[in-house]
Amino acid sequence: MIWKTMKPTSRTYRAGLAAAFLLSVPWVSAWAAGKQALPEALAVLEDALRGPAASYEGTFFVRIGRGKSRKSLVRCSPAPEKGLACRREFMDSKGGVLFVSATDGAKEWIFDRKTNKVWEGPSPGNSSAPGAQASSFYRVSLSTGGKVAGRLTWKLELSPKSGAAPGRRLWVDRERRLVLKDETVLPDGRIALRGRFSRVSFGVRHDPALFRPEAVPGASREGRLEPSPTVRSKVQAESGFGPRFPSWLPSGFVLDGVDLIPYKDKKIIHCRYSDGAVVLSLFQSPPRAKLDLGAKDRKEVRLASGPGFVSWTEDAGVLGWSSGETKLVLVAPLGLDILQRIAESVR
Amino acid sequence: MECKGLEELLSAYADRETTPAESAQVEAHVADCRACGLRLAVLAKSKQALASMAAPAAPRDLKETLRRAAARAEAASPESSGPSFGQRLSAWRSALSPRYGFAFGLAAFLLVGLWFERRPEEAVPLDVMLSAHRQYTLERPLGGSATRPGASGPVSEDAGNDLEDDETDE
Repeated sequence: MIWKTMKPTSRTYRAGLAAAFLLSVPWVSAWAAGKQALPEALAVLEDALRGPAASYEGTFFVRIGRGKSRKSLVRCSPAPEKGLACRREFMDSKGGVLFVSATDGAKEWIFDRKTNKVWEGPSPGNSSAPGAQASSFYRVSLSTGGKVAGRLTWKLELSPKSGAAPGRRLWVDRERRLVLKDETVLPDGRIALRGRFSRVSFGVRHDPALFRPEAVPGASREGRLEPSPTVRSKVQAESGFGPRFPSWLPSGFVLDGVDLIPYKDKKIIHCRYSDGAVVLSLFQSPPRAKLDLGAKDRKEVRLASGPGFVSWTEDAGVLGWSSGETKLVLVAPLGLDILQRIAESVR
Repeated sequence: MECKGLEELLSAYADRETTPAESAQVEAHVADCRACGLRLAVLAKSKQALASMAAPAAPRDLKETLRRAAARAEAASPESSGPSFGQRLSAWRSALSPRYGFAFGLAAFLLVGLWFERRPEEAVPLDVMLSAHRQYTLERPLGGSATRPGASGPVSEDAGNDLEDDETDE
């Protein structure tokens, strides 16, 4: 009513119009940002896998299946000519460090406080296959992804071409191209693995010493991907065949141990790997053994070494293949692109 | 195609007696199946080895030997039961040249090889491996967050290490 009685030329009227305009600016710009034209999906994937050009720091949560989340502090800086220098620290509820992985882009150093073990080896580089390679496994589509950690995202859907393999969903920061949220999705829709930032800040300066190996008094030193020659020959003697090991694993993963599983009069080799939160198993059956998949659904896939199959459990993907007379099986809650890259690196 | 259904086709393929469609079927299967590939290689090698062997030449004195043998048979009485055991053995010995011995040995070797390749494989259930993986998931100090088999809710191995994320995206 007051508005109607005002003259359009009055001072109050003009001041009101200006205030309304100023107040609407953030809303309109937010709406415009939401309606931003969609970029090319593969280009966003390539950028996301390369990592952001600026240093950052954030709190990252990892959840396996229906389990509880694990909290970690992630700090990364671009390393000239080496890719990305990163440090991830898993923490307990009191903020104490449990498990640390650090890389300067060339070397990787990992420490487990609980077992007091230190692993060292060359850095594996990007965790995922490059975008062009990923597009051979997946159909990649892009849509607007809402906000994660308070930042606008693009959502990438990576649907496996083979149908039954684990797929992935990535929420990528629109401005910085950092993957803020990552889900590994099983064919039945269950989420095998979820990782997400709850907070992230860019442009943080990090001490380069954070990304270098530290001296840990009394800690035993281990190889990152293979056991010592003594353990290797012991496994060979007890199993009756030569164990094989991957030459590539995603960043942060280390060899936790090698077991022999007795089955009838044979032994199955079980190589256990972990990055502190996610576990990965590589099984090797004795020569002249046939894998009995039971009633499990499976799809055939083609690896560099020949045909293989993918299946899944209630919380992990399964990739099986033959090498010579040995059958190998990889089990982990990871996308098919990563499982296949690991499988093809097994020597 | 299953390996069992391919056995006859493999042999025919090695003899080049298959139709173009059958040949394509065999080639596609062998490209993926190492065992059948090996079988085909063994068949091809054995046929090649036999084909490369020259026909044994007749002994020079064959004519003379046959004539003498015929004369002996004529001279023998009609009641006679034929050559003695010693005579028959020597006739066999002269007929068996070392080349025949080699062919028999090769055939025996290939048969043993084929049996070794085709002896039944022992089945290892995938479930044995999946149980071991699950156990590892539960035991890993930081990874122990999965649901125990048969349990109704999530179980943490080290509850003190679990920190809940608010999980809210805007």
